[in-house]
Amino acid sequence: MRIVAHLIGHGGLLYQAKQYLDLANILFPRPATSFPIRVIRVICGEHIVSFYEKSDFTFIGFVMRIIVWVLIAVLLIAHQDNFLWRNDTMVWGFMPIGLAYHAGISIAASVAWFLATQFCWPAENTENAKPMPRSSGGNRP
Amino acid sequence: MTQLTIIAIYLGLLLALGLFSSRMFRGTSKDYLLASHSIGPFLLLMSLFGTTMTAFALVGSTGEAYKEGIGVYGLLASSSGIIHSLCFFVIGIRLWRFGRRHGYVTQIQFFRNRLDSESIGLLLFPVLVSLVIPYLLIGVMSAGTVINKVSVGALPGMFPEQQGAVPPWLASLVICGVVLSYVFFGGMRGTVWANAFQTIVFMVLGVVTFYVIARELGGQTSFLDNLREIGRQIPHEKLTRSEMGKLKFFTYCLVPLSVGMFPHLFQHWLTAKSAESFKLPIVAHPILIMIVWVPCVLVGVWATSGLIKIPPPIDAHPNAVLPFLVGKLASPVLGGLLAAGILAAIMSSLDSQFLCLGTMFTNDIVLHYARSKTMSDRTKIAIARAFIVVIVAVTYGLSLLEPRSVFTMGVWCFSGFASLFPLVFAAIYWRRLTTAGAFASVLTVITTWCYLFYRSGYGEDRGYTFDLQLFGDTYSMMPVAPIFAASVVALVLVSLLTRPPSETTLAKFFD
Repeated sequence: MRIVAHLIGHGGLLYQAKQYLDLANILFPRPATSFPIRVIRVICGEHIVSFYEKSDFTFIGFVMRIIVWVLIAVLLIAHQDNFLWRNDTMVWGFMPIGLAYHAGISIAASVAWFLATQFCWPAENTENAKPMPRSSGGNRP
Repeated sequence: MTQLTIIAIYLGLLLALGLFSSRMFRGTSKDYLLASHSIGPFLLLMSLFGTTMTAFALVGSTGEAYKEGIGVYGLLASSSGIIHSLCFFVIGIRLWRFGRRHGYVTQIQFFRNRLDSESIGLLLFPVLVSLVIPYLLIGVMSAGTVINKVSVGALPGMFPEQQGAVPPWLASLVICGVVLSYVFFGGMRGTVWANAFQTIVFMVLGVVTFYVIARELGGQTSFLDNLREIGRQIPHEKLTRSEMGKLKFFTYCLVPLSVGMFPHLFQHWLTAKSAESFKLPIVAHPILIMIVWVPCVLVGVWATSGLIKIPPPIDAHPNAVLPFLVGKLASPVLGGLLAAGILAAIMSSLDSQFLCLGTMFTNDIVLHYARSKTMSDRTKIAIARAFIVVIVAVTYGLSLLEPRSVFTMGVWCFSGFASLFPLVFAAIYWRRLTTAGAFASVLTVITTWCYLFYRSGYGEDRGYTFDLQLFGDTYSMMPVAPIFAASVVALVLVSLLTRPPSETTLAKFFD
């Protein structure tokens, strides 16, 4: 319980991390005026920046979005564990290391998808889609 | 007799649940087919997981681990953990949104609208139905076999020719009847509730079975000591992937993409109450896969340890390893419960597929060509129910012919669906996708799939790989890899060479 309180309680690690994230958002308040976005404009062009501005994300959200997708790509690469192919070590004396590693991949996938739902969740998904008048509904008009 | 009684009680509970859910039926076709978009996160998680996990998750995983070793988990489970959630995230939520906006019930309605083409439905319909039917047959036949095997000696007076066991034709008939009852009366809501119940049943029983087998096999005082003792006896080759090709392992990652094109999952996605309902399935799906698969894979490799002698008939049919171990090491009660768990895994997929095919025949054929606007909701429900009855009857009839070769088609069906993934992905994210590009992609999938299926001896060669000769080396990969690649090339090239879709069509799908 103390460990949990230390992590998520007031003044805990996650609380402090959020303070830093808020501070970063204050330092980079709007994409168009922030320094990193000016750099992106020069490197990638106006098109990318205008897309980014429309998306209404904060700078931290933008960075986290990239980190999460990179994390998922890393997981897909890590899935091909050639380095453990012939390793017969038993973890804790009963779990073959190849199986333990892939069970770890499953847990890591769950964590990565949790981060994706927190940082990569499109704004349009936060409210229910309103059913619109049925256009053709796939049936013959 | 104990096992048969437990199975009968389980089926009775399931029927009661299905019939109870029908009391909440609101009387509209939208409620019958999509549960009025009312399914929250937990039920969505359970129904998606229960639908994607078949009996293979319990008996197949144990059997494959017995045969191939621990590599089976990486090959089939951990990749699915990443990729299924990816499909829910990038495909499922978008399709749910389009479905809510335009009133879709089936995949084909989406493709007809997105590609502005009547004929794409005529091309896709037989492809999707043909890929689902073998899957249905496998479920119905497996259920009959499971009940037949666990009921040996239970009814000697009634079925002396079957050693007192319930004959497979009767067992399959009972299973079809139970599934039909709750799908017929409860529609999608009954299916979702039954799926959630069955998913909990097979997950809990999987873990309990693991514990009991470890205790009996290890013969030590503590559970951990049991695990260590058994672990010491496992042969080296089963602890590694020394007999598994690395490229085959890599290309197998494409197979779970099939989830993006399953028509029954499309229908389940549309039942979600909101986009937020998807969060729990996306996050929890990899963990649930791990909870079911890790114990089963361990039990499979334990069976090779020599601590228990596996007789030659079981050795020749690895799918019988788990029922054999339970029969030898556990009480009849646990044996009955495990059989109920296996049936739960089978039925939680069957129900969605029956409902989905009934929905497709109703919406994509009858209502589409019969000017449905003049039809009342009551008539639409009656048509859907009639089609569900016909599909269950046809599937059961086909299962009586005992087409055993259908069991070899499992991975081929998945490969077919996976190779259609580029089509759905492009339809959602690529404005430049054209009708001709979609046609080219589907026709390429049909052609290459049929060719490679023929080369594999119509699935007889279970270890068939596509061998690519390059610079004197041979690269063996899963057949899904070349089919998928050909599908992407055809889709992109033909789309770029043909006229882009109209702005009016694109405006419906892209902001």
